[in-house]
Amino acid sequence: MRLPYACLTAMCAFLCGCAPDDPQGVTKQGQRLVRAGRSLMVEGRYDSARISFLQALGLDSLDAEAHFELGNLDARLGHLEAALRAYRAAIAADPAHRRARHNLAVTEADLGQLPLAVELLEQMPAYAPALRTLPLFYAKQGRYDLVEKTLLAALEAGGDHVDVRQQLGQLYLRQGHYADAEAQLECALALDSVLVETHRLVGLCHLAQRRYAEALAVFERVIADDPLHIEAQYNLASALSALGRIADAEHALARFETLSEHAAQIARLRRQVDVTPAHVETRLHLAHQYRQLDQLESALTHYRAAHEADPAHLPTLIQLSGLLLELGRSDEVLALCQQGIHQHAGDERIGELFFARGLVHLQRSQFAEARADFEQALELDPSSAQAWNNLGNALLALGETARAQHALEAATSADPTLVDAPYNLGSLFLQQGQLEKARIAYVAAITADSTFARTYYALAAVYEAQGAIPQARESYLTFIELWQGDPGFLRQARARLAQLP
Amino acid sequence: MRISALLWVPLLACSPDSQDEPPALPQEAPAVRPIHFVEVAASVGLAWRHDNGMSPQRHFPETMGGGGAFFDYDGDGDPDVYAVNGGPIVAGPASEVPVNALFHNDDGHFTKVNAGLSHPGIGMGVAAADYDLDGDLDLYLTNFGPNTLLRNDSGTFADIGAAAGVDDGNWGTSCAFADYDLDGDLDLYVANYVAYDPQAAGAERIPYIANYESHRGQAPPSYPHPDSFSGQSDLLYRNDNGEGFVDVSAAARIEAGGKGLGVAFADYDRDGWPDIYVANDAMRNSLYRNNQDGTFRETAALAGVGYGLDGQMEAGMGVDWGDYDADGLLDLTVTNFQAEPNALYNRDGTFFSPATFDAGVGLPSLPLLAFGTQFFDPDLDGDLDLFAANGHVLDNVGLIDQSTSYGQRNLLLRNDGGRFADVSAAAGPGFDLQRVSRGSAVGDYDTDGDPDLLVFNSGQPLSLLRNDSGHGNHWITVRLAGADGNPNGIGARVTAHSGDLVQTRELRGSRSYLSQSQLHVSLGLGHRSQLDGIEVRWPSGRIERFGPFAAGQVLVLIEGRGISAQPSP
Repeated sequence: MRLPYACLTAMCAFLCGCAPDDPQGVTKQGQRLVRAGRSLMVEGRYDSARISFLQALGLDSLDAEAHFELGNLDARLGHLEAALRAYRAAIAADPAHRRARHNLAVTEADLGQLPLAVELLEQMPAYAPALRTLPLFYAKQGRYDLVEKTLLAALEAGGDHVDVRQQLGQLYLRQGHYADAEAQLECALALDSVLVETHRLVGLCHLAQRRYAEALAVFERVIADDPLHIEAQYNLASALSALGRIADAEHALARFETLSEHAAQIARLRRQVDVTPAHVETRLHLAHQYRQLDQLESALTHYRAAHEADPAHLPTLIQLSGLLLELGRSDEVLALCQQGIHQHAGDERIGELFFARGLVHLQRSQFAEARADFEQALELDPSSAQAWNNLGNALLALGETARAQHALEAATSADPTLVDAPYNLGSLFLQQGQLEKARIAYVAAITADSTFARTYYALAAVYEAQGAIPQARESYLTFIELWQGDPGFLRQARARLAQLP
Repeated sequence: MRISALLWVPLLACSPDSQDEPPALPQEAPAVRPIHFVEVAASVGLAWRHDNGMSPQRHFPETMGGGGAFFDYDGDGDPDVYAVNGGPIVAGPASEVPVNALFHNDDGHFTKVNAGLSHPGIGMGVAAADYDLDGDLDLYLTNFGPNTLLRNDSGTFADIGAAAGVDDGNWGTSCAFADYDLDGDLDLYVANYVAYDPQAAGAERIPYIANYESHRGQAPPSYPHPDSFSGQSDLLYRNDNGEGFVDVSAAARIEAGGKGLGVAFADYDRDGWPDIYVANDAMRNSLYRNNQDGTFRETAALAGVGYGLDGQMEAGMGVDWGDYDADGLLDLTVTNFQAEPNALYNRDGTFFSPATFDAGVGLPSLPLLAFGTQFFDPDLDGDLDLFAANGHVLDNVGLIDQSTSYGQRNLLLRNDGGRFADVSAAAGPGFDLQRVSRGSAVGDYDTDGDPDLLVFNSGQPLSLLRNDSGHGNHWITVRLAGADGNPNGIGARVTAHSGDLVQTRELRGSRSYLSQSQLHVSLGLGHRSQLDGIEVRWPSGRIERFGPFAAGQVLVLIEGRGISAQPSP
C-alpha cells in the first residue's frame, strides 16, 4: 500500500524537524530504521521497507546505508534505473562504500553496461566480493585468461570460499582440465558438502570423461536433494541415455521437459515484464511459474509487484495471501484477506479469502472464528472439499462432533481423492469408539492416497483394537516402510509391532 | 601443385648441429603453418550487396537473411555463385524490388548473368540439386512468402514452384535435398520459422534482451524475440519421379510447430538411410531418425542433441555434420546466440556426448552470435576444422549491451587431434572483417585445391574469402556421380585412406545456414602424396572401392562405371 506523497513529505519534514538537536540520536534512529527496513525486506514487505529507508533518509539525507538498502530494494523489484540512482547516492555520501560500488556494478551489468561494470569492480582489487563477481563478467566478455587469474586473487584476498572454488571448477571443466576441475570441486564440497550445484558439476566432470555410471550416481543424488533442479534432470537423462537405459532416460526427459517449460515461461514472462512492468496479469503468471519451481521468494516478489501496481486486484490478493500462508506470514494474510473481503463484497471469489483467513484462525486455535470463515467460504462455493474438511476440523475442536462428521463426509463426497477428510473422519470415529466406521474411513483414506503413512498407523491401531492381528501387523509394517518423519513415531510403531501377539 | 615438402631434406642435412651426431631423419610432417584468408569479392567481380530492407518498424525477416550457394549451374566444372537477396517487407509504390543474383565463374572471375534467376521476393535460403535428373543443377529458394523451384534448362531457369507443388507460403528458411526414402530421386526438406505478420502493428512484442525497457526513449524499436510468435511446421516433400513433389510431412511424422532455421541431412546411425537434423530457434532441436519405412522418429533429446549442455533451449541457427575426431562417426555442430556456446556433439555409440567445451569450441564462441557454420579442411591436413559466420540480430545492440556489437568477426577454429583452437586472429585479413554475417558456403572457386569461403552478410556486401594458406599440403577433390536418381551422389559416404590417415566424409551441399556448398568432397592429405584408396557407399546401397590416386587432382567417381580423372590446374 502506497502512502500519499504529501503524507510522506510531511512525515519527512516532521522527522527532519526533529533531527538537528541530537545528531547521535538521529544516527542511532537512522540505523534502527535501516535495520527495520532490512527485516521488512526479508519478510517481503517491500512497501514498508521503502518507508523505513525513506524515513532514515528523512533524518539524514546523506545516510549512505539507507541509500544503499533502497538501491537493493529497487534492484530486487526490477527497478534498475532507480537502483542505480540509489547506489550512486550511497557512493556520493560515502565514497568508501564498497558494497554500494559492487552492487552498482552488478546493476550496470544487468543493464548491459558490462565494460562499465568491469571497470567499477576493477577499482576494488582487494575487495573479495568484487573479485568473486568480476570473473562472471570476464567470462561474458570472453576474457577467460582473466577469469582464472581473478578467481585465484579472490582466494588470496578473501580466503577460501565455496563460490570461488565452484567457479574455478566450472572454468576448468569448460577448458577440459578435468583433474583440476575435480580438485577445485572437492575443495568446494569440503567447504559446503550440501551445495547441490557443486555435486552437479562433479557429475558433469564424470559425464565429460564418459564415466557414465559415476555421473548417474551423482545426478541421482542431486535430484534426491533437489527434485526441481532442472539442469540435473537433463543431466540425469543424458547419463541414462548414454548407459542405454532408454525407458528411464525418457522418463527423466519428460520430467525435465515439464520443469523446463516452466523455466522457459519464466524467461518469456520476464522479458514481457520488462516491457510492461505494471502489467498485473503478467506478474501473476510469472509468480505462478516460480511457484511451480518452488522458487517462493521470486514468486513473492512478483505477487508484491502486482499488488503494488493494483492494490485492489482480487486475484492478486487471493494468490498473494495463499503464498504468504505457505510462508507462515499469518499477520499479513489476515490483513490482505480483510482488505479483499471488504473491497469485493459480493464477488464470489472472496470465498478463497475467507478460506485463507479460516486457516490462519485454525492455526491460531481460534476455532470459532475459523468455523465462521469456513462457513462463509462454503456459502460462496459449496463444492470446496478443503473448506468442508477444515470446517470439520474446526467443529471437532469445538466439540460439535455431529456437525464435524457431516462436514467431513461432505468433503469426502466433494473430492474422493482428498485424503485429509477420510483420515479425519476415521479419527473422529476412533475417538467415539466406532471402530468399524473408523476402519472404513481409514481404508477410504488409503484409496485416496496410498502413500499417506499416518493412515496406516491409525488403521493398525483399529485392527489391533478389533483383534485383527495379521491386518494390524501388515499396517504397522507399511507405516514403518513409508514413514519419513519423526523417528520417535517410528520407534513407537516398532514397539507396538513387537508387542503384537 | 606445391612441392615445398621436399625442401626439408637438404635443409636438415646442412644443419651445423648435426655434425657430431647421426643425421636426423627427415620429418615426415611439415610444421603447422597458419591458415590465411583474404577477402577478394569485389576484385573478382562479386561486388554485390544484400538488401535487408531494414525499416523503422524493424520487421523480423529483415534481420534473418540471407544465404546463397556455390553451385555449378552450367556444368563447366567450377562453382558459380548465387546470392539470395532480401528487400522491403512492406514495399512502397516507388520501391525498386531487389532481386537475387547469379554470377558465372570463369576461371576464378565472376560475371553477373541473367539466367532467369533474378527472382524477386524476400529471399532467405537456397538448395541446389538435379531433382529432375536432366543433368544440371536446379535450385529451390525459400522466402518470407511463397518459395519457388527454379528448374535449370541448360543454363536458363524456369520458375515452376507452383506447378511442382512446393510454393509453400510460410516463412521458409534452410532447405535441403536428399533421397530420404531411397527410391532413387531427391526429396526436399524445408524448414519454416515463425508466423510473422508485418501488418500486425502495435502487437506486443517480447524484446530480445531483458532490461531493454530501461532504455526506453533512448533506443529505436528493435527486432523482436522469436518467443513473440508461434512456430510454423517444417515440410518434407517426396519427389514424385521428377514430375513434382508431394507433401508427406504428416505421414512422415515431421513434428508440427517448430521454429526451424538450420537443416542438414546425414546418415548418422550408419544404417544407410538419411536422417535429418533441424536447428530450431529457442526450442528443442529435432533429430529425425529414419525408420526406413517413409516415416521418422524424433529423438533429439534422447540422443543428447536437443538442448545445450544443461538442457537449455538455445537459439539454434546453423548446422553441420562432420567426423572431426576421425573415429568414423559423424559428429554435429550447431551455432547459437551470444552467451550461448556453439554446440559440438560427439557421437559416442548410440548417444552424442557434449564436447562443446572440452573440444575447445565453447569458450571462443560465447561472446559471438553465430549463424552459418561448416566443418571443412582449409589447411588440407586431413582433419576437419570449423568455421562460424557471426553477426548480431539487433542493429542497435550497442546501445543496450556494450559487451557485443552488430558486426562481428567470424570464427575459425583449427582442429588438432580432436581439440579446436581459435586461430581467427592469425587467419589473415579475411578474418579481420566485422560484418553482420548470416549464410556461408564452402567451395573451391579458384580450383587450386583448397576450400574457399563465401559469406553472406545482412545488408552488406558479400564476402569471398580466398584461401591463400600456401601450406604445401596435398589434396584430392572427389566428385560423385550416382547412378539413376541421384546424379550428384548426395548422401554418399566416402571413406578415404592415405597412409595413416583415414577420413570419413558424407556428401551434402545443404548445411550451414540458408546456404549450399559446392557438391564435392574435398580431402586434405597433409604431407601424404597419395590417396591409397577410397570406398564409396552410394545412396543406392552399392559399395565400391577405387584407387590408388596421386594427390593434386579432381576425380569424378561414377557409380557402377569407374572413374573419370580431371587434370588439376
